[in-house]
Amino acid sequence: MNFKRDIPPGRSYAPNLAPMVDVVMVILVFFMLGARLAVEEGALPTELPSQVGPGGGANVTIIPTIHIALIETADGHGCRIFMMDLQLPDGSFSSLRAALQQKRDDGANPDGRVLIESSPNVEYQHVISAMDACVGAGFSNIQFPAGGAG
Amino acid sequence: MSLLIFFLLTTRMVERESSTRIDLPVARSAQDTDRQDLGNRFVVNVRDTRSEGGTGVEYVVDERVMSLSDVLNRLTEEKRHQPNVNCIIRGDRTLPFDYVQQIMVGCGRIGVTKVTFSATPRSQGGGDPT
Repeated sequence: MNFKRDIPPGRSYAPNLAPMVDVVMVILVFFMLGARLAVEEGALPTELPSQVGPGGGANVTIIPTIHIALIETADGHGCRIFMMDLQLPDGSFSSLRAALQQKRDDGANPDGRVLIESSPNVEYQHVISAMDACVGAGFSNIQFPAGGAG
Repeated sequence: MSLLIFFLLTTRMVERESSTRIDLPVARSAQDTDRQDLGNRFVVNVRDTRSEGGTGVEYVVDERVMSLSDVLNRLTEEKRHQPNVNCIIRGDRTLPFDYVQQIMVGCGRIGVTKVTFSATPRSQGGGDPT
């Protein structure tokens, strides 16, 4: 078979670029939207006490550097925040962060153990916010007790 | 064409833990999971089904809904193969903490000490929590 066309001398043929540009634009739009839709996901690591579980050693109570307790409010959505058994008057996590920062400025060890205790019906977001406040203030050794507060 | 190459290179290939839709809690200090060595992962999704007319909570592992005891059995099995397994908890922000704590207590019993909470650094639509 002969696919060659009779090209008149002195003329050249180029491929049609319009469909290729269309396809490239569609792929470009796909990636632009895909990049925006990707939900960022981060992680807050913690370690459970090593004495728990099979083969664990004696249960030794270590007094934490900082003790935070979250107790749910009557409406069930909010929570009261206690630090070292004292209720934060403001009750917001930004004030908890400020109080923790104050502890750091007063010389608290950033590697010291911070214990977050929560009553069972406190919303998960509040516990994460408390943990976020600790990490934000520079504390990294955050732990949770086996049982809850309240 | 150069724009296309730019987006191809910069779009991160997001390794999704699960297609389970979870409204993660917000934490500004949540570290990017890509930059962090999370080790051997065991991902537990905890869905709040109350808004959908459900009874309360649903535990989802590998896209399968299961009871808490089944989740802990799977984790025990995982721990046998991977002693330093990291239990990643992806929970809905509106959940009562008790449901998450039950997993943590189970982890303690099994001997899994590494627990990681998934959170989003930015609020998706809603405002910042107080």
